[in-house]
Amino acid sequence: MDPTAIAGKLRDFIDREILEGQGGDLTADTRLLELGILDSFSLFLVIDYIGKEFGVRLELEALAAEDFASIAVIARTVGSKLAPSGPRP
Amino acid sequence: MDYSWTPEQDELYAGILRFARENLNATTLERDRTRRFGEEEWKKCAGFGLAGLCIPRESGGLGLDCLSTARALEALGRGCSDGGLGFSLSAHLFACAVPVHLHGSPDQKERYLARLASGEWIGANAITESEAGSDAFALKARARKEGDGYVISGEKSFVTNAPVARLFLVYASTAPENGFLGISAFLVERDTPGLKAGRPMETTGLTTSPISSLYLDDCRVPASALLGREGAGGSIFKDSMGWERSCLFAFWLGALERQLEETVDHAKSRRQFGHPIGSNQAVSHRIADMKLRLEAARLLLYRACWERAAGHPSELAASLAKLAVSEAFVASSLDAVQIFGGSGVMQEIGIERYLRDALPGTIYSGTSEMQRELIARALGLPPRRP
Repeated sequence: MDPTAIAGKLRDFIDREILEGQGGDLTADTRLLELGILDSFSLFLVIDYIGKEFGVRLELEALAAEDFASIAVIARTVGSKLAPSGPRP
Repeated sequence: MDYSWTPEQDELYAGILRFARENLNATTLERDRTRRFGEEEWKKCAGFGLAGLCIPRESGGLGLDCLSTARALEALGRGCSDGGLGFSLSAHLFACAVPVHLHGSPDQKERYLARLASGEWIGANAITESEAGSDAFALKARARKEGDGYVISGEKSFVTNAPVARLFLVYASTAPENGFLGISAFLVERDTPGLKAGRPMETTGLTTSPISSLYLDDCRVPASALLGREGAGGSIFKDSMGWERSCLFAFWLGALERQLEETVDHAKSRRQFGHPIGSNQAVSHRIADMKLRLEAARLLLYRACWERAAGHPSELAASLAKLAVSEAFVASSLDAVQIFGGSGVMQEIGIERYLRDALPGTIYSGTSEMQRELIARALGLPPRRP
């Protein structure tokens, strides 16, 4: 799966589950941490979603703020960790 | 499913129970009244290995896994009437020593771990602030890089052990714009210029556990004081809370067991209208409910510990355990007071102390409301919009 498709799924998830459909302005480059969209609760929702949707397990201890700066950055991280066989159908 | 303990765990339990009953209760009532920390009792616990239960043997601890650590604390809670001592010991272990063990550099472990595990140094954890309680990561404390170190400024509230601690695990934001991922953890020694503990707080329960504010006024620490990497503080704290919510409350399981034994004895021996009061269903059913709460909470707690010991700790299990034990303790303490009647509210009897010690338990380590929030999120319920 290419990063653009991953970013699209992430955007939909964040809009639906975190912003309750109010994320009309949300783009791949929106600064998620700086704007408080990802706080200590919602961050874990995203990590959990990535595990379930893409089969990629992100260890919080190994992650830095830069890894969650924007949807585009998260998508690149997830894309780089996806197994060659790709995501779950 | 096998619920039995190993012979080693049974031996550990029996040994700590005997030690606690013989060594830790002589001055509890007097120290509760005068709000005095049991320095002698701390030393005795430390000498018995209780300050380093789950710290590796090579670092001076007992090297117990999570399940055995909890079982040891349950024995301590059953045998020791000083809830404040148990609380101080647990806070030292899970909120300071364990993070050093899990995240410390070889140099940090070399300098601190043996001292903490032996109880020579008492540890404390400083995260809560006046505006950052349940919203624990909304810290105002800041740590800015300066030269080859950091300068930390801020005020911390409700720092357990602060008046007596030699080492503080201080959480401060190094990059406020990064929220949770901008928090860093620092190991700050007591004699560091700029660090000052406030006056001991007068709390309702846990009166023998010294708690105060902590002030950091341009407190300069070397780069080597950083625990883990910059920005890992949130993760370190979350990890230590997992340990605390799973294990610390085992101490209160032990207290619930002791409370139940005392209440049953009282209901058998206290006679009114020519019969033991325990023959009245109004009393016996209350006691049955106390037993039910204890056993249900115990199952949840050891389930959480089992998951952790097996290498797959879950936040859900830890929250369920913490919530169950803390709320069982309040409810059963109210029942015990009611069953004991007038003597239940007399300080020298010790029954009302259970209630006072139980009350803070639904607040520290994350309030009951926050535990329910975590449980709801784990069930997939939507969060509140930011």
